[in-house]
Amino acid sequence: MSPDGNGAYVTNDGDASVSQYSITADGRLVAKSTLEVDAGDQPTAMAVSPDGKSAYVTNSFDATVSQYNVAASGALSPKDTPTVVVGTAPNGIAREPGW
Amino acid sequence: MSPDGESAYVTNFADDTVSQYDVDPADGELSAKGTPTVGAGNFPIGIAVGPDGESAYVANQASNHISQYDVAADGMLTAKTPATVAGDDPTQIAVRPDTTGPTTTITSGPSGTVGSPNASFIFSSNESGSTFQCRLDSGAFSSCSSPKAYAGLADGAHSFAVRATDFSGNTGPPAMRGWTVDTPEPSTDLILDAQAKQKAKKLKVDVACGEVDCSVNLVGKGTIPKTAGTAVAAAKAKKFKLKPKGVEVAAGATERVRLKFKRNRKSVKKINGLLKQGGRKTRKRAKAVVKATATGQGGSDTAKQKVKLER
Repeated sequence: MSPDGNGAYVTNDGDASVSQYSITADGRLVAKSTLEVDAGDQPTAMAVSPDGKSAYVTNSFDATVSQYNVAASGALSPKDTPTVVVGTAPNGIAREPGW
Repeated sequence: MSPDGESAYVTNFADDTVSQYDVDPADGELSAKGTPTVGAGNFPIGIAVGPDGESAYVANQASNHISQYDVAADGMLTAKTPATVAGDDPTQIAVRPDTTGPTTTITSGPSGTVGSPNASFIFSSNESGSTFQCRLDSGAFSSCSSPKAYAGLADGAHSFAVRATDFSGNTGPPAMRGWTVDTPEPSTDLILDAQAKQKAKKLKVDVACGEVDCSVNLVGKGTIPKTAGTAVAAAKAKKFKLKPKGVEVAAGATERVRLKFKRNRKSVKKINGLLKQGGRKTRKRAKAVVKATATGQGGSDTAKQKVKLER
């Protein structure tokens, strides 16, 4: 992974947010300048698209998926439509493998 | 799951541990690694392996932090320093996949115009675990490692390119280096001492080879013409040879070589006498021809020079 533009993302179950970290060259996590971005109520699973440009979070209480653009820096920002409604209590998400 | 598919990890939220397994490449069956579990925080849930496969992260919900690990070549986890970073009720973890190829830098190699037909390049990638492909001139890229050496290149312009592919299979743009090979031609520049002193029984020859180191072999022969009307007249022309000699000449240097007559002492004396008489009285001078063959980098060269022997 090139040192620039990477990211590790952690869903914060009780905080309705996603914490975002940069990964240093030796693999340590360092909080990005904006540590947390909002998610829905009780975010659980998270996935990043294979092209690294989109990220998705399931919000179990909301029955929604929050969707984000991933900037070149790896920072998350909500897409124009920040959430889509899914079934009750979504709790897992997978990315389409390969590209 | 590690990106290389060889290791699998399971968070055990009741045990506060992570179990680590080898994945059988044939049937996918899991078997516990040498150290079957490593410690995590309180109530570990999510786990992710970094895009380079060298780090792993575990979200510990109850202790409210993220554990970070190094992933060894055998897939086993060991805690990094620091072992944890703060969380905010962390649950699951995802990492952004690596979609960027590594940048390759050539740190050493020929440039401009060089005299050597050989070239060696040292290069590196900004991503650890990269593999490299090299290309010379219009050839195809083929796998290589640093340093990459080439030998016996033709005179003229050449180009070298090297590109890196990272752990995730992203290939970056090639780094390029152009240079020109101009192998200097060896040359001998023979200077025969026209004032060769016969009493010294030897000829002085200066040898130089221009821009390259060379080995020079010298041979020589000569004739003393028939002389008339002198006290020590030779009844007929006499031929003589010089002793062959070899010399190593450094680039840019001139070596002085002394060539001796290839005769016994008595005949040398006679030759000297004849030279003296002939040179003074008859103007028919003894002549010698010295031939040199130089061998150096890039080829060989020969030179020949006549010299008149006189007092």
